Amino acid sequence: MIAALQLLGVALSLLALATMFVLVGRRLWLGRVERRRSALEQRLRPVALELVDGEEPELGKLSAEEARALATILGRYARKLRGEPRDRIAQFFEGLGAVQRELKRLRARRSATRATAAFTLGDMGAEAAVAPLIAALDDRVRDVRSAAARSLGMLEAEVAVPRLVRSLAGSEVPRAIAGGALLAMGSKAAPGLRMLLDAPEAPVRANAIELLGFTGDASDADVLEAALLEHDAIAASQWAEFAEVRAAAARALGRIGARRAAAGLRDALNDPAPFVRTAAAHALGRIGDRDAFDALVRQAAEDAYDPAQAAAQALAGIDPLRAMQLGGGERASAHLAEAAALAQLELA
Amino acid sequence: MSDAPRTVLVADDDEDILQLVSFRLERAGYTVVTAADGQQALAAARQHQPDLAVLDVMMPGLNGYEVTRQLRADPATAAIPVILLTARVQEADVSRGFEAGADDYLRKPFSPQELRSRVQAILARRPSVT
Repeated sequence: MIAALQLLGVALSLLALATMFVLVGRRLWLGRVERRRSALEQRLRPVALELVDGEEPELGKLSAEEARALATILGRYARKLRGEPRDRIAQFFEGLGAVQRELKRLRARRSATRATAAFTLGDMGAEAAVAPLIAALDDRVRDVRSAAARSLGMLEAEVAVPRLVRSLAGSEVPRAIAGGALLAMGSKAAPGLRMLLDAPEAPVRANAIELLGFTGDASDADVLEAALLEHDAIAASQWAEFAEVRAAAARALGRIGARRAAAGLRDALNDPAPFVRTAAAHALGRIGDRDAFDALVRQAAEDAYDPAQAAAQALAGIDPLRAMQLGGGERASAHLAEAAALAQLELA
Repeated sequence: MSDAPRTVLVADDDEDILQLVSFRLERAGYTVVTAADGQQALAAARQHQPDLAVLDVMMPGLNGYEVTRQLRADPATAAIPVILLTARVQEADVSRGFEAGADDYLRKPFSPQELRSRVQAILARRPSVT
């Protein structure tokens, strides 16, 4: 019995020793791989920089490992560049046959492979990937849809705007990713967003309006003001959904800085939905509408917390001196006092 | 005006951006000094007195706005023109950059050619300070 236990002890010690050797060996191997990768990148970086800059570096015959390392560097650079350098990177990948390979992987059975392919196609900047990536927004796996959305933003694919907004409105893709992709397109996204202002679904309209506030221009003020007056659904007792459209319109008008929409925004201070009143107050503050001052004073003194706080901030921005006088007294409401404190900071 | 190559300070915590910007500007004939964060950028500006600084907005420690403000506050570096590189493109961010004293800003992802043109345009308006 004792001998058997001793044998077991020796066996366990040997196993522990072997495990330790394996772990140390693996660590050394990984370190070596990393040093080799780093040395390879160091050597290929000048080539990558010349390629991006439009020079024609002597590539010679690249080994598979070198081609992978160069593709990694260029993929990273592609995320940070736009214009001609990005087009050159796309041409490089197309010449290498990498785009076709990734398009094939986008149809793989494993979702992780499809997601990686969708992500990589964005880095490659390949125009040929736009249609397959739009189709990938219908993938059953969220990670694949998210990677496709991100890459469509990187490719500045205007044609994908309506589908991306619907993905955003339907929460098919995380808000930050779909919104980020549309914002990455900048003003290129605006025409596609304008087309969605008449969409039958309120969430689609709300998201399109919100994004138009970031990417549109003053010419959008009229349509946004019309969106601000979406009253029909109030009667149908669905006001919450439509109120989201009105709030988005108010935020967008504030961002665009459309002074001619000030009257509509002042009306929106009477909206039944508190978050619309909040958005309208912020927008009026951004526009600097002095005619809204009295209505904002009422809102700061009497309304619920969020709209009152928004009104206080707007008052401090529109007329700091008057805001200080109004909120300086002992009998001033909490939010008027806040307006006075903010105005003091404004004037400091 | 001196014929010596003009010096540009490039500060960004992203190694790839440093490489891309430095490569383009060196190819255009500038001498490039790099910094990986805001503190290093300030120290390099004081030491090298560059003709222009390209600063990333989102740097660890001191951000691009703060570095710009401190450059403006120091008589030795107050005249150095600043171009801000920023991933944030909202109107408020742009005005914040100009309020801090920046001369121009460029949106990320960026075009190295566009950056070179902006650097050339700003330096063409100013005599060399080195």
